[in-house]
Formats: sequence, C-alpha cells, structure tokens
Amino acid sequence: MSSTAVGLGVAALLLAVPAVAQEVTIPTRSPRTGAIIFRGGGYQPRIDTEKALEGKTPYKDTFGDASLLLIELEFQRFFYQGIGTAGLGLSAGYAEKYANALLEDGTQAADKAALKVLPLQLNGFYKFDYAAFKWGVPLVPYAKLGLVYSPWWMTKGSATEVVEGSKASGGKWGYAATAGVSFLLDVLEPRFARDFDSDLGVNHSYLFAEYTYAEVNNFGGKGLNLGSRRWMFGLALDY
Amino acid sequence: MRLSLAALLLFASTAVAQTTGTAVTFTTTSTTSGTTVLTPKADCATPVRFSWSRTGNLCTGGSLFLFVSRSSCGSEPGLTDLKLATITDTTASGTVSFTVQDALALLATPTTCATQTSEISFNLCASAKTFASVYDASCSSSFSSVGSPAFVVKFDPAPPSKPSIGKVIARDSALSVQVDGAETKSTVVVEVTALTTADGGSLPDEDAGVDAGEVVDAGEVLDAGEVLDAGSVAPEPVGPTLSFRKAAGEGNVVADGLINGVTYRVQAKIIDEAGNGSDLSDAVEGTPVKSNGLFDAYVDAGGQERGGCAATGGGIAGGAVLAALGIWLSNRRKVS
Repeated sequence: MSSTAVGLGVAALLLAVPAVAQEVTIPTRSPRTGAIIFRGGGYQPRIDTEKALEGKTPYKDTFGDASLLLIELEFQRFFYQGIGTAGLGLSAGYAEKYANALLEDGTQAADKAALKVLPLQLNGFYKFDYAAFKWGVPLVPYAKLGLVYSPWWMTKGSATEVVEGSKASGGKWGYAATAGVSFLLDVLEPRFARDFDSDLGVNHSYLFAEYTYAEVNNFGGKGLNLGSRRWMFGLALDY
Repeated sequence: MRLSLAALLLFASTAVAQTTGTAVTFTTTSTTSGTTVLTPKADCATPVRFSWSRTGNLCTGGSLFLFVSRSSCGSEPGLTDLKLATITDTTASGTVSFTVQDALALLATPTTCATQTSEISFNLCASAKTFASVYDASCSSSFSSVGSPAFVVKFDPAPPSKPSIGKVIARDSALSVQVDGAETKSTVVVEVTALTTADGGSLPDEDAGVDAGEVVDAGEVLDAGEVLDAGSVAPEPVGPTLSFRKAAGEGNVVADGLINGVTYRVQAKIIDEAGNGSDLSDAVEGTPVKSNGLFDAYVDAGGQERGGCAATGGGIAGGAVLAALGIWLSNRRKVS
C-alpha cells in the first residue's frame, strides 16, 4: 500500500468525523399529533336571565356578583396540519360556588348552599400557527365551536336540594364559541423547548387567553340557563 | 479426621434440636387496641378469652404456666398472680379465660369491681423453665417468658367526665351540636328529644330555661350556659329520643332528619375507648329552621327547571361523551 493511499484514507476519515458529529447534534422534532390544555377562569352562569324569572335574581341573591371558579382539562387531536392546524377537542371541567343559605327574612342561615357544574364539551378548532412555525411570529390566534353538555346539581347542607318534590340536579345541552390567542413559549427558551420535545415529546408550549360565548339552555328550551360569557386562561402543550 | 469432625457436627446439631424451647402464641376474639384488651367497668365480671398454641419442647420435668400477672412474665406465677393453666405434657393448644374480678381479688391489696376505681392493667403471661444447656434437656433453675404477643388486659372503671354542649346551631331539618370535653379516642353521642309538636304545640312546662315553643333563629348559637334551670321540672318529651354519634375530634355532631319548627331537647354523653359512658350533659334546646338554598330561591322566583328525568338522560349522554374520550385516547396511544 503506497503512502499516498494511506494519506487519502486518513483524510477521508477526518472528513467523516465532523459529518458524524453533525448528524448526532442536529435536533429532531417528534411528530405532532395533538395537544393537552389546562385552563381556568371565572364562570358566572346566566341563571338570572331566564325569562320565567321575570327579572328576579335568585343567583345574585344567593351568591352576589361572584363567579364560580371553573377548571378545565382538554385533549385535542390534530387532523389537519398545513396552513394552520385543525382538529377535534374534548374537554371536561368542574366549577362550584358556596354561600350561606338564606332564611325567609333574607338573613343568612347556618347551612351552606352550593351550585356545582361539570361542563363537558366536544369541539372543532382551527389555530393559525403557520406564521409561528414559518416566520417565527410567536402569537397563534385560534377559534373553536363546540357542543356542550353540563351536568349540574345544587346542594344545601350536605345533601342535594329537593324542592316541591323536584331534585336539584340535571344536565343542560348547549353550544359554545371560543376565540383566543396563544403565546408560543418556545421563543423565550428555544433550547429548553427542544429538550422538552426530545425528552418528553412536547413539541410546543403556549400560554393563552380566550373568550367563550356559551349558550347552555337546551338550545332555547325552558329551565336553567347555564350559558356564560367568560374569559379563560391557561397552558397548552402540543405533543 | 474429617469423618470424625463431620460425625461430631451431626451429633451436636441433633442435640441442639432437642433443646429447642417451647414458645406460646396467644390470640383473642376480644376487641383490642393493638395488644391491649380494654375492659369497661360493666364487663368486670365478664370472662376474657384467649386461645393459645405452642411449639417446641419443655425441659425434662418442666411445666408451662399460663397466668395473669401485674408484674413481668419471666418467672413462676406468684401468690398475687392468677393461674390459668399448668401444662406438663405435650398439649399443643387450648383456651384460657378469666375475669378482671378474679384478678382483682388476688392483688396484694385485694379489690372488687366496685372498689377498684382507678385504671389497672394485667399482663397475660406464659413462662417455663429454661434448658440447662443447649446439649442438656434437663431444666435449669431459671424461668423465661415464652408467650407472645404481649397481651395486656386493661381495666378502665372510670367513666369520662360529663361533657358540656358548647353550641347548638339550628339548621334546615337538623341541629349541629358542638360537644366540649370529649377525650381522644372516645365517641360523642348526642340525644335529641322533641319537646313540641310540628304544629307549634306548647310545652307542658313553661318554666324551662328556654321558653316553650321558642323558635331559635338559624345561625343563632345557644350558649352552653343556656340550660334548663336546675330544680325546674323538665318538660315532657312528645316524641322518641333520637341518638346520633360521632368520633371525638371530628367536628360537630349533626342531628339530622328533624322537623323544622319543632323544639328539641339536646343532651350529650361521652363513651370512652373502653366503653364506659359518662353522665348526660346539661340539657340545651334547639329548633331547626327552614333555610333557602339556590334551588329554593330559583323555584320561588318562578324558575321552570325541575331537574329530575333530564338528569338521567343527560347522565347517559355525558357518560357517552366520556366513553368517546376514553376510546379516542386509547386509539391515540396505539397510533403513537
């Protein structure tokens, strides 16, 4: 073997080493299939807007102007990823509010009265994240339209209320439209975001604020109106 | 040489096996707190039963003593100990029983169920003479305790102190009663007795500390001092006495299922861990009152929601939604 051949071999090896190193250090993105979302906010059901109440305000009389604290968890699955992302989401939440029950004369009783709601929602959504991923704009506007079902129950003391033979529990159907904007946290710590993806499979994380217009009264039927107009805030993780 | 050593070792191990001492295991069906059997005054003359079983051997000519003692178990039973059984053969199991009354009678200063006023404990013992040595099956002169676990029978003749009622809070169809003076691990019992009828009937006796038929406002707290006057004639009850109980330290006792507008006499007592009951507290009165929750207010205001059947249908629908969520998630895991 000539010395020229050996020299060529060594040169080829030296060239190959950086190539190998480069292959190892290039970050890889895991596939993005869905998202998990945690959110919370004030929820004030529009009970007092029911026409049959003729302007009376049982919710306000019991709870004042206070809202329920609503906590929700949502799972999304992406079915389209191109110019933005679209898919379906399912969410479940829980909200409750306590206050003193009232005596006939309007003064506070020792018993606690409570309203508890468990909103479930199936929605379709679209989020315009093309600009975020393509041009680095960290804001992602989005919208959702969903079918809502809200089991509810009212308690006094430790038991569900019963008035005139009717038990204070049930469920209401309705719909909700939501618009919001997310802030892509990846831009603050890109390296951490990459590690989050490679270690846990979380592609992107966002903080968001959204406004929901919900009509939950059996689509205009009589009875309790659990619809609301509310702001919610939370954290979303794409995986 | 090696053969001799092996033979010696085999011989020695056989000798050790022969001198394995006896060991007794006790069990009981009595109510225990750990290994302590609590006996209230009322059960002073009631037998406490233990089963026993044993393993191992007695030394040659030795006996196994089962007895009850105030002192430690590693000796032969003395004059102040209550002997339960003496085993000299190979009997492997049996039962023994005794009453606290019998044990009290053998104390250095004998007492009875009536005169023993302070708490006293007795150890359940099993003892036997030890082997002379590991190679010698004859008995040594010393005893050792061979029973386990170390059961203690604790006689607690002292009833708890009379409790007091700190507050009676009127609630809708219920009274919430705060009982003071309960010791830990005891049970608080609240007894309520109707003194008026639902239609506002009057009390037989108007001299009670709280006026007959007086309706206590919801949230109003009756001080513990507001009790029926001593010496006054207690009003006659018009209904049965209802009893409600709760472990001490778990908050107020809630007497529920009562009738709004009816005045009830409320008394409390404490039952300690052993089962001794205190005297009833001084009586306090309370009257449940109707209060309105959100649904009351809503219906009163003319709201048309009535819940009921819609809840059932909705529950099915909600369950279906959640099932769909589960199936979807399961499918997602398979894909990933």
